[in-house]
Amino acid sequence: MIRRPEEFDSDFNLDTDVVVVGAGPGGGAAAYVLASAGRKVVVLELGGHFSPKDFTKDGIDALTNLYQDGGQRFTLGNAFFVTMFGKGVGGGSLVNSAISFKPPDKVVKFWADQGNLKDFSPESLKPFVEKVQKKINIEILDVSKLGRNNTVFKEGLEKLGFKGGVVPRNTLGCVACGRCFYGCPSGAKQSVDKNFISKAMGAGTDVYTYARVSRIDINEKTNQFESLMAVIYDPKTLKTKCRLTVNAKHLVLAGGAVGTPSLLMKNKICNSSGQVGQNFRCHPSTSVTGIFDEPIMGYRSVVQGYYSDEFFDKDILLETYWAPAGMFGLTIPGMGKGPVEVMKNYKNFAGCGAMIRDESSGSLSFEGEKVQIKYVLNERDLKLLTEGMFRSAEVLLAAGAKTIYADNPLKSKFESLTELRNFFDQNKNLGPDIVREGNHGLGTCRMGEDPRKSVVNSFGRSHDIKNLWIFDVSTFPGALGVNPQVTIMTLALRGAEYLDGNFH
Amino acid sequence: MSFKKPTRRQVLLGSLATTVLAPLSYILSVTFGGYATRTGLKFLTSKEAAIAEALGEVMIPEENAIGVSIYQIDFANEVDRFLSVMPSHNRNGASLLFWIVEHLFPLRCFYFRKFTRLTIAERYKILSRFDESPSVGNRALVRGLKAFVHLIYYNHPKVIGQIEIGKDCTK
Ligand SMILES: Cc1cc2nc3c(=O)[nH]c(=O)nc-3n(C[C@H](O)[C@H](O)[C@H](O)COP(=O)(O)OP(=O)(O)OC[C@H]3O[C@@H](n4cnc5c(N)ncnc54)[C@H](O)[C@@H]3O)c2cc1C
Ligand code: SF4
Repeated sequence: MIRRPEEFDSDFNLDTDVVVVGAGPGGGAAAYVLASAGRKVVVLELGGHFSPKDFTKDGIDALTNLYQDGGQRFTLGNAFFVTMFGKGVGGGSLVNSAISFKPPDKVVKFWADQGNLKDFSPESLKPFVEKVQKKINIEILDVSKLGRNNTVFKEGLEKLGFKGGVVPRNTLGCVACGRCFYGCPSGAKQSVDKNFISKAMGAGTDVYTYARVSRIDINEKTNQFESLMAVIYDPKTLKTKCRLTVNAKHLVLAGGAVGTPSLLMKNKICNSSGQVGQNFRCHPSTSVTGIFDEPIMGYRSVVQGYYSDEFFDKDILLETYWAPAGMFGLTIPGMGKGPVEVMKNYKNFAGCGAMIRDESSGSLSFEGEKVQIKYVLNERDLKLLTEGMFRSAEVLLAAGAKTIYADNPLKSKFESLTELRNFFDQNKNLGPDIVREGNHGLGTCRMGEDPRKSVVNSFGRSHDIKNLWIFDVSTFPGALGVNPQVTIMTLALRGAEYLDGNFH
Repeated sequence: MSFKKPTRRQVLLGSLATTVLAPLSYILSVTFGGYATRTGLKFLTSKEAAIAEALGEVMIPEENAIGVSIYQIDFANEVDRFLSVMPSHNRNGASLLFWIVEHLFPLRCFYFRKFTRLTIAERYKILSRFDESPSVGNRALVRGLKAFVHLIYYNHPKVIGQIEIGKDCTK
């Protein structure tokens, strides 16, 4: 059942088997497994619980209600770009594009070798991947339903002879409204509140909303987790309403790549390896805007409906892209009247971009509520991003775009393939300005079997505190190269089953 | 790719500007400053509201192709709405940024008046200088401001109504 702040006026305590912090894909999948196995589960979530009617076109409402820090988290380093994290019951799955790729075999094998991970292979993960795919309802829409922003991209790929396909997405009857990032107003997106969390609630789980966990208490004698404290706050005033203490036999952290290390670092726990908050990666991406003669109406298209893995061996994935208008404005260089003039043709815009499997590595530090994300892109990644920008522009030009805006410090406007190819032949590294965003923050509590080099083992169990588990994107040993939610849920199902089997 | 390195003269002038002229400009601005008072703002001070509007005026000129001015969407109030539910460190960061824009930005073009007291053309010149600067940090700063203004402006239902042409499939 969903519990809301208006129900509580004074501090209270709860006793439970498992307390889960964070109701995103990781926390949701873990709560489902444990509640279905008959464990008493309590979930604490920083954000609220929403229904489709709450998702309006008001972008400011969406940013403030559905994103941690209003979506205004930036990296500091040689590049300055936004890295966003969802909040609310559903976590990032509320605001993501529903892309549901399974973990790529090459990456799973690489992780297994690197972290010496036990029983960790494409074959051993397969049953969990299949369970996730079934639960979240993977839909592969017919091309005719994707909207023009995706079909022009497909045509461009075909002209260039690049491979690609319709993106598998966790939706049920998607109407291609282009608004995934602000929450799905039609209820088609199968975010985890609709499946894992609602099933966990059916099995007796209570989900406390607007509950910010801040303190974790460890019994010094036994070195075991004992209880935690959360503040329940009023979402309108952000003022504290009361405090909630939860005593539990196990603690599952699933606060995501910033939320989880933040709790560990503030409470000074689970960091004997020194790896908490390190190894931050985010799949940085770049994007281009193509202007066509015909109306594309990306805002009536599936947000990210078509992809190309032509360059996946090089760690570049091309995907279509549609974003709220403010984001498009940014791809148009210059200031003042010029960009606004271009935005007048918004209906004729098409967008796509490239995301890379980054090897650059960052670190987090915390000061009170504030997180600092230090992340420096290395030369290899900058070159991959430059190639990604080139390929994205190439596809849209091949599809018939009249103008391409590929914002970079040297030349941003292209009108022919020859002009584009000449430019990119001579410029293989356009520098960090071309990064638009990196919305897949990950890796800050990485898994591995060696306690000196990792925070948790491959089942998500802390090396330092045996009844503390992490089931979220922070445990990834490195970048994945594809959108991560299915992998997060896969690892959470696997870890939570292991937890249940080793409960005592 | 290589960016032009700033010359020693540019570096010297830059540090002179920040260490000597900035405090001076601040003192002058506090002494002789003046802003129209805004009511109903939750987070922004009337000064900050004026600075936000001054940025909006440059990036989204009144005579624009979309036909919706920043005044028609009450831009400063929208900024306020956005910031008022942010965690305190974001709000403090925004306050600092507004201060920098108002007092330090003009020095980039050796204007010794506050940003809000400059003409739109003068403000445009400053922002363009930053945008074309060889320093990644300077470019990032002005792009961050552009992102902020665009986010507020293009997210407004009145603006969306003008640019999203075609039937809404969610209704
Ligand atoms: C705009 C956007 C688009 C994306 N598109 C895709 C996509 O199409 N496909 C895909 O696979 N991935 C996508 N991603 C990434 C994906 O959504 C995330 O990687 C994923 O949601 C991470 O899951 P998680 O469970 O690890 O953490 P999160 O989803 O971040 O969930 C963590 C939850 O914990 C809560 N929390 C944090 N700290 C605390 C605390 N102290 N107390 C209580 N609660 C706390 C947060 O509010 C949040 O709800 C996208 C991400 C974004 C931002
Ligand atoms: S495109 Fe629209 S209908 Fe489809 S999942 Fe996204 S928000 Fe929902």
